[in-house]
Amino acid sequence: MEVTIKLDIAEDFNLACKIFNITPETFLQTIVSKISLPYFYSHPNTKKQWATMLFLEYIMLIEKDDDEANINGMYLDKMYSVLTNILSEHNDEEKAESCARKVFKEWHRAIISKRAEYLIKKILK
Amino acid sequence: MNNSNDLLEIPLEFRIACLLNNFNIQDVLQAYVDHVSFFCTLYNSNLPGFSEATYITSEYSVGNKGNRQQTDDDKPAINRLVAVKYVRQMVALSFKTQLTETVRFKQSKKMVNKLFSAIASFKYCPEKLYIDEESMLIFTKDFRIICEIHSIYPKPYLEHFMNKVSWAEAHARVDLNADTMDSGLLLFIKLTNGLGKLKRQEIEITDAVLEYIDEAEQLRAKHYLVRNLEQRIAIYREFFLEHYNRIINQNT
Repeated sequence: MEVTIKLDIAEDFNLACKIFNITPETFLQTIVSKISLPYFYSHPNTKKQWATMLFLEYIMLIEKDDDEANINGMYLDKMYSVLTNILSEHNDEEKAESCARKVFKEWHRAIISKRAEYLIKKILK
Repeated sequence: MNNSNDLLEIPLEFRIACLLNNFNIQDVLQAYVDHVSFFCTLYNSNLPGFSEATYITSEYSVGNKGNRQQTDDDKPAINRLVAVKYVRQMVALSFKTQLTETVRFKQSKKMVNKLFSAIASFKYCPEKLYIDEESMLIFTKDFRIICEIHSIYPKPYLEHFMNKVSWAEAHARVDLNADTMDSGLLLFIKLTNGLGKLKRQEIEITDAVLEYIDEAEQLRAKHYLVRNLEQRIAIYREFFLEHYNRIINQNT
């Protein structure tokens, strides 16, 4: 999926890219392509998954205690139990990844419907 | 059983917590002793470090009133009337909220000293305790008074504190934004954050150390899925134990 993004890059980053002869786009594209929670949690022995960890660090920073946090907690628990079952019983990382992705999409649908519900409530008021 | 001749038993979790923070075990125990305040046992204090150390101590005192030893001489070790007088003074001081807590704390020192002098002999807590051939703890007046009043030896107090310290639990609770944390754990965390200005040991930067530092940083993200506190603590405990063993083995 392609998106167009406008960024304001700081001088340090800009100069670093110029020095090492890479474009900001290439660098950021590499990072973005590697962010995957299903992959990260289904491949616990793969090291240096920095992109996903950076993303996780960020969400842990902005984590709020609200209604959505409850849904998130529920689906995190579900992902965890699905993954531990598959990894400990079958040790099949690919299967674990695809099952985790299914849960992940379910999670997405749950959040979207929660937000839609909220909007509808607001409209009907 | 609580013979002060037995060497102090240092629990593994406590050793792990000290090593991974480059603390000397003796320094941590001394910091605990130094922060136990008789004055703080008398009211609901809010003095960083002192409140926590005193709270864990009182927690043990309340549950474990020792059996007063039958001594050969009939003289009581503590002159009850004199002791009560000083305790009353301290309680009254604790109510003087027009003074800041730090000022009240400073003023309590005189009374603690007087109470200390009123105790004829300290049957329970000696001046010092060797925890191994090279390290010793020096007991403060406050600590010795508390041991004497409750008829409890220092060893059980120290062990009670040490049993509360778990680096795995500290991390798990912080990472999961747990609502509460035990005073013993809080005290240890405060020590890691600079309370008491404990010296950090100089360590050799071995591969094991580097690997630990590297993986410790990733710990929270790696286990983001584990929301259950007990499970998180268990996972972290395994992690820290493994790295502790690797670091120890590489050092020998």
